[in-house]
Amino acid sequence: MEKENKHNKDLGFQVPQDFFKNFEEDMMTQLNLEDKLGKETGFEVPDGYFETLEEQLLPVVDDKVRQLPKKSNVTTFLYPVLAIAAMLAIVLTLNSGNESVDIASVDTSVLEDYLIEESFLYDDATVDILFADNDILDNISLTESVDTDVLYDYLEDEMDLNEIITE
Amino acid sequence: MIADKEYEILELLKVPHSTEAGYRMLLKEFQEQLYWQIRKLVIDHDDAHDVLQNVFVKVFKGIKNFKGDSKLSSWLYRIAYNESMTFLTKKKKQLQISDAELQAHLVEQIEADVYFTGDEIQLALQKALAQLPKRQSEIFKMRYYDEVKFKDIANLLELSEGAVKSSYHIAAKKIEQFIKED
Repeated sequence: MEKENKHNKDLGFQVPQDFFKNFEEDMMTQLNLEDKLGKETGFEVPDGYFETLEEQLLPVVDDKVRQLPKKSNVTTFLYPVLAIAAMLAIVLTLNSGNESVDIASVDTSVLEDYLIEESFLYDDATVDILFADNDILDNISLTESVDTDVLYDYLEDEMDLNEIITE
Repeated sequence: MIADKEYEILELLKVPHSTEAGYRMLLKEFQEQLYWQIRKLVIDHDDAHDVLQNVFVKVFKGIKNFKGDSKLSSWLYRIAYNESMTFLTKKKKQLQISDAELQAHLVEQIEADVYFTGDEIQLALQKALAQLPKRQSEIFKMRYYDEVKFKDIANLLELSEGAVKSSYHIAAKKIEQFIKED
């Protein structure tokens, strides 16, 4: 810390060491650059680019934004489905007493009617998934190979979104 | 003035029936500024266009979660910066080259670019920037051209303000030197 005594008569204000020396140098560099370089970069855009940019961007961006939620549809549906399936298995086991009843032996249509009557399921898509003979679990094969780049891009997008959400 | 616009945009986006008007106003207000910010980082026009598109996808997706803790413009600037960096990282991976090689590659592209009409000094500047460490070059572009406050750059890059200031001054001196020699 140093005091700049000439114009600072004991008011107690201080500046970092070498502040004025550095300030002068930095200022000269800045002026020099602005003088020689200006603020133009030399980059150009095609004629009329900005006039039509909004019209070009809006549909494309809108489309992509609309498509995005589909990514997680399977898992979004799968959670309630699995929760219900687990619950049913417990209910059926408890109610069955000595009779041996497991979920596979219950007639599908009976189960379906029961669930609809009980309003367990809130839409047709969930019903479809639940009664698709568990195809869904076969389709989500963990051994299926996923292209590394695709996976990388996906994770990157998700991470970016998280960053955005947390500002 | 800008704060009023930001407020107006956010108000439009709150209500479903005016969302599209909000998107339009957001595009109109920020597309050009963000484009130039991105262009300085990715250099090529077509690449800048693609990145800009990705930026707005992220923005439209995330805007509902924008709480207004920072200025809308700073938030957009951050997304544009992140997207540009993601793009450059991918490009580097695709070409299997280092940061320095990528910068050299981008400068080579400039020389053949029909959308670069810079004079010798502007080309020399791009060459000088390509030779700086990545961070110094980024900081220089943000401060010198975009006139972003040191504090905001520090925030964006998660560095201390002091570190950003000294990086900038080092970069500025190197460029001054480079241009003198050229």
